Amino acid sequence: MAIDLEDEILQDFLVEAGEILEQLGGQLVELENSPEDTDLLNAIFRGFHTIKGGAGFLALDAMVGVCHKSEDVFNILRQGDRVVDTELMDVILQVADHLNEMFDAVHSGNMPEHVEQSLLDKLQSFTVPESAAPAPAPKAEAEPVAEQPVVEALSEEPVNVIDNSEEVVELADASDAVEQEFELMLGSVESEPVADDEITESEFDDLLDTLHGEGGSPTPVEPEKTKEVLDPSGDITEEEFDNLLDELHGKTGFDAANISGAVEEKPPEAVAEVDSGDITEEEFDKVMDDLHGKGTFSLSAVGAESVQEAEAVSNPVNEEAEISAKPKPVALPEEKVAIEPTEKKPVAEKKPAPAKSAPKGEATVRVDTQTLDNIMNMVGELVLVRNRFQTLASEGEDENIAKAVGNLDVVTADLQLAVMKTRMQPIKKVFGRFPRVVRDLARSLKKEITLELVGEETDLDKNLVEALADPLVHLIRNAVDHGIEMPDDREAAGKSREGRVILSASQEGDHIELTIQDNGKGMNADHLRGVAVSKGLMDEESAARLEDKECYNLIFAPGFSTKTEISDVSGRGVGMDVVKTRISQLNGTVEINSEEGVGSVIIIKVPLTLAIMPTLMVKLNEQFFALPLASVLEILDLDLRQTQVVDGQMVIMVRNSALPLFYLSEWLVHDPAYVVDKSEHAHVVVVNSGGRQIGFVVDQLVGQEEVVIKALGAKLHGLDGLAGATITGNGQIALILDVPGLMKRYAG
Amino acid sequence: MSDDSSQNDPLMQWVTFRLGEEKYGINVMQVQEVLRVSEIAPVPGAPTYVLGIINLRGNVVTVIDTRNRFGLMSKEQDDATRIVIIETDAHIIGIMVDSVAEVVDLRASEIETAPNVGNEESSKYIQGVTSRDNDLLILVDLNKFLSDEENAELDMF
Repeated sequence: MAIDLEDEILQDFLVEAGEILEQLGGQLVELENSPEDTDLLNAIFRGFHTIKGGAGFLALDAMVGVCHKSEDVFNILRQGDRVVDTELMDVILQVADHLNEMFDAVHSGNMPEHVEQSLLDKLQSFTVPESAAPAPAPKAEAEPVAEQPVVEALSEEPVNVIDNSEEVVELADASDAVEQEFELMLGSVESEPVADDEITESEFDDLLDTLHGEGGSPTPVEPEKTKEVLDPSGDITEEEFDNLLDELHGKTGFDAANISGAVEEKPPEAVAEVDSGDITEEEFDKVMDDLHGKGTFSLSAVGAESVQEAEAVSNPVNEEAEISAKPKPVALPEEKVAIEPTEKKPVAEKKPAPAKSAPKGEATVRVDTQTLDNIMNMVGELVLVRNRFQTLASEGEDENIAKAVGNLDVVTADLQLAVMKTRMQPIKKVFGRFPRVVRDLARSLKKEITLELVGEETDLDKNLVEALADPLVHLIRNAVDHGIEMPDDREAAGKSREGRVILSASQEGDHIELTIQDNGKGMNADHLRGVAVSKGLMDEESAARLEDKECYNLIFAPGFSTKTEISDVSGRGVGMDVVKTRISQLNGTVEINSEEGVGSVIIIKVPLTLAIMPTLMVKLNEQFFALPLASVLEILDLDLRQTQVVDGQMVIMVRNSALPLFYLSEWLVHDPAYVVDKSEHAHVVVVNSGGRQIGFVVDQLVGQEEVVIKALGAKLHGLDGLAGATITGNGQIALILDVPGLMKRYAG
Repeated sequence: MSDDSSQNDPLMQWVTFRLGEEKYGINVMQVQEVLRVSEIAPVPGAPTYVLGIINLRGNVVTVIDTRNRFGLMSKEQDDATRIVIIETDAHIIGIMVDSVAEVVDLRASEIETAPNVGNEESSKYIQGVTSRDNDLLILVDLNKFLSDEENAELDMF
């Protein structure tokens, strides 16, 4: 079944769930390190809950099923009835992976597939408090089967999914839906003061759960057990009660009257406590969503029906009779709310403040990135106009104009900065996924590794954040796989068993610096030379001439791998090549340092933004060309009579090292009338290309200029050596050169 | 003219231009504007039929040598030379022509399917012909003119 991607509600869900899933990865790994952190447990619980709500509304049953179970698990965890252990973490992380897959499926407009039953069963086994461990085995099977009668009884409702369905998951969903309807009804009951001293929503909820489990055949209970748990504690909390019920529900049927009796025994504080947890905004949302999702059924009818159903199942529960006595009038106001979502707030606010942070919506606005891109483009245009004005003003004599242009300059610069800031995102967005990556890798490689993140709050352009994700994953994997040694080896080398990888980000002037540092074994330059020769990347002689630092750079060469065996982690010699390419596409640089036995550090520098680029303007045959300033090292005025030809390549000696020289005009000017002026003196721009210094001879140097990159027009995409075009201060077109591309195309 | 006839026989407007001896027409809906030739910056490494790029009020627009596309000899630019900015499939592109003449109204019934005239290069892009004032007007299908085959050619670079 396809999904309508145009649906705004779906889009909202995708955004929200996307954010939650992104956080979830990090939170789960964090949880493994601090399993007792209640705030964290609550946060994860809420995450699953919110996704479940949204997914339920959109009828993404597969997601609902797995979220619901996970929610149960975390409910148990946050009540302290179970502690986080590795086994549980593995299952939960698997769940997170599945959710991500489902999310991707939804993103591409497909219906997510259900997870395997085995995973759900495993999850289910964690929803029992550890103390109740003896009897968990038969539970998983028993429950869904027992639910069937109830589900069928309800099938007159428009929840058709459940009809004839054999999928246990769906059954669970359906019962969930019924439960939510009750929640809804109860929510409305509670908005009436009458209900206050009666049964609370959650209690009722639980009763209902139990009824479902029991499937309409009340059997004798173990009242002792109920009492036993209830009595000694005196004041039972909602959570304990919940557990108790869950436990009963799985194991055996029971007489509902007993329970309700027990509920009545609860001292008033307990009730108050439960009340305060009534209906949170979230739950309310979910209920609303459910309403929308089902759409067709009459609210009051369902309310009445379900209650009658409940009544039929459990006659002795008199409290319930009171509720069911007035389902209709109660349900009505709620229905109104459902129709008009704007009324949602007041209702939610009537309740005591939920644990979730109070809405601070007015402070922020969600803006489509497209809009931001447009604004950015327009500011780009403005910058060009400003450049134009500056050129004009410098030609004229009028002081007033010069002043006005000066002002324009300042304002434009500020505006440019401000707009750039709106597109900034903390790099945390990328960093967030690494704890998980490192954890999984470390486990599969049987290494002990901690990952330290520094400067997660560093902001950079949204496009950059996305573009950096892949290269960083490669580098982190590399550090874990190649850098850090096995624990035993580390110990033998006199280091701590646990390796450490530090990933840090910081802003340095107009660029962002990212470093990936490990305290592993470092690199051996001679070993790298050997590998380079054996892989046929260079001959022995040239390898021997390389400096140590140049050797480290070898790891970025395509096809270079020090691994003799290819594993699923690394060894194909592709990753680092990709890193290098991607970073240079971002006008960034990669530097690598290493010390054998101590560790390696990789430093990446990228510009703050991709939209505006500082360049050096040069002229060839009266045409403007812009060289990205990031790749320009220096400008020299050289006497070209001293050039020599070595190995077919023209070079000139600069400070005792040979600098290869190229006439840019030979590559870029195709005007037959133009003759390259090879006179004695020439301007040479020294650029850095892949760690190598190269000299470009140009006709004329114009100066430094900030340019807005414009994609080359139709039919000209993907030309090697050109990064785009821009419009100069005097309105002319300048082509922006891409140095690595140029070298590849003309000198490769 | 009754409404009925205009419904069955829709009126279309065509911008006509000259290229060598022939007169061509393009659908007015696809024409954004007509420019005098300004400075065209050549793009190194571009296909031969691309003259270069121009600055159209801050936007970079590719200009195509229409003579080259139609298999005609190139000609010196003069006062009459124009660049017609056209929109096809969300692209904005300029085509250089010898001169732009006028906008003509044509009914669908006046357009005949193209006979096998002209050289092979140009006949590929012809949508139809019509005779007007003893002159043959060749209607160009712009989408074919800038077709995928050309894109494929471009990918080779």
